[in-house]
Amino acid sequence: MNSLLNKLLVILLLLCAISSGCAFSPAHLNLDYQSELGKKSPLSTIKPLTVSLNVEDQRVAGERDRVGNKKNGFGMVTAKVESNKEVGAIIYDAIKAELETNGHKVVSSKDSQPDVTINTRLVKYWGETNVRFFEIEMVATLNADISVLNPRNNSIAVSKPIEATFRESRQIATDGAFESVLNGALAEFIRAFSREPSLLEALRANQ
Amino acid sequence: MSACGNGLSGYQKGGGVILTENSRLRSTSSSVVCLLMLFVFSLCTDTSGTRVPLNPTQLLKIKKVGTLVKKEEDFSVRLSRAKMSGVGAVFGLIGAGIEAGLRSSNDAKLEEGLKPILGDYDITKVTAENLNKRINSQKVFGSSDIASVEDSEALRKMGIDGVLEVTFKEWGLRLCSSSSVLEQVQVGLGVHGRIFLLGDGSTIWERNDLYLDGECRRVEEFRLSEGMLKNALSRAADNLAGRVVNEILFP
Repeated sequence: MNSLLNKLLVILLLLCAISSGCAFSPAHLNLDYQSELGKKSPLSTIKPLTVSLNVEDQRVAGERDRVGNKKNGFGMVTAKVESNKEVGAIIYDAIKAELETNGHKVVSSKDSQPDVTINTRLVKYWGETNVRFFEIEMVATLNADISVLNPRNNSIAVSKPIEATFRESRQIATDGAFESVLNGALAEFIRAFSREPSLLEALRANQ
Repeated sequence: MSACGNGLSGYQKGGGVILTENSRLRSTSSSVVCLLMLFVFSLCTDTSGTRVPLNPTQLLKIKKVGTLVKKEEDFSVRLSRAKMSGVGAVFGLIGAGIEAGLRSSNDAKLEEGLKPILGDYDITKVTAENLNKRINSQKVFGSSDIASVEDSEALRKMGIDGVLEVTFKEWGLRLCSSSSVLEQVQVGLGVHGRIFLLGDGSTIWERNDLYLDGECRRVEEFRLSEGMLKNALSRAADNLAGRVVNEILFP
């Protein structure tokens, strides 16, 4: 019986080791917004616009080089959670993809005169783990202020904070778990952006 | 016996249960199997965002919807609580608890200062009216009416066959995380929304959302300026209604 139990324990430990990676080595994540093919949002109800899109990374200094921290059971930081792609570019590409899926065109303001400018000020993009008795809660947050401007006089039509949170309950906080929860927050952020009435109204006013 | 049974397969002697070596082994291994199954099944569970995605064909089952808006908590201010320093946690769970308690008490004082300004302001009534107006103008359902009661029999008598239920988990002021000025707050509405059919009670859409207004001011400004807090709450409630309707129209 003991040998069977020992074998099962070894298998369980190996499973944990393989699936959790190393808690002391940095995680490198592929963060990306996956828009569902052909799935429209209320942005599609607005006449096609040419949009100049800008993303400014305004995250606090301690969070600029990472999107989270790996922690041990005592809550001590053991390694960084980093994004393979620049975070500003991830947000830019996500908003661009959503606008283009809904029939709008993202242009460079230098090349052509856009109908409208969308400025995004990224405040937070962070994933963390909260160790509980039966589970590890993974929470990711994405906060950004989105402003819609008239490019002719740079007047702000509307400015709105969008806060998106995504939570998952897990048994092991693997690198993949961080990636999943941060991608979840990004998807929620885009969902909120494309369904926010005041932003839609401001975009509609420029059509 | 199921794999997760108690593993008793020994023989009885003198009213007691005696387990053989084999049955003990089986009992232990079935417990380990149960633990492994629990481990695998609980690997990942979504707990936020859209919990039940809407299938547009299910919307067609509803000819007339009732909009029911409820609240689970009173007006709140989350300023001090949102700035937990971690100093308390240095002294363990008890320290963290003491810090949380002190901060909640600070927020409660701010709440008490703002409640007289709100008077009989009813966030549920304002939101229900906005939702009803937006549902009717955007023709989300055949027709819509405000459901003032939860009794399904009474709702059926009103000709309602589905209910859009919005529950405020939180409504009040929250710390502005993006503000460069310290101690500024904005209106925050934490809601749980769902649509259920009155016929079989099945939920056809369910989602959690936190809606932030974005206009950041000091608590004092909300307290001293006539109508500012009510206006901010009503503006946020209207925008929230718009967001809910957009969520339903574009699931």
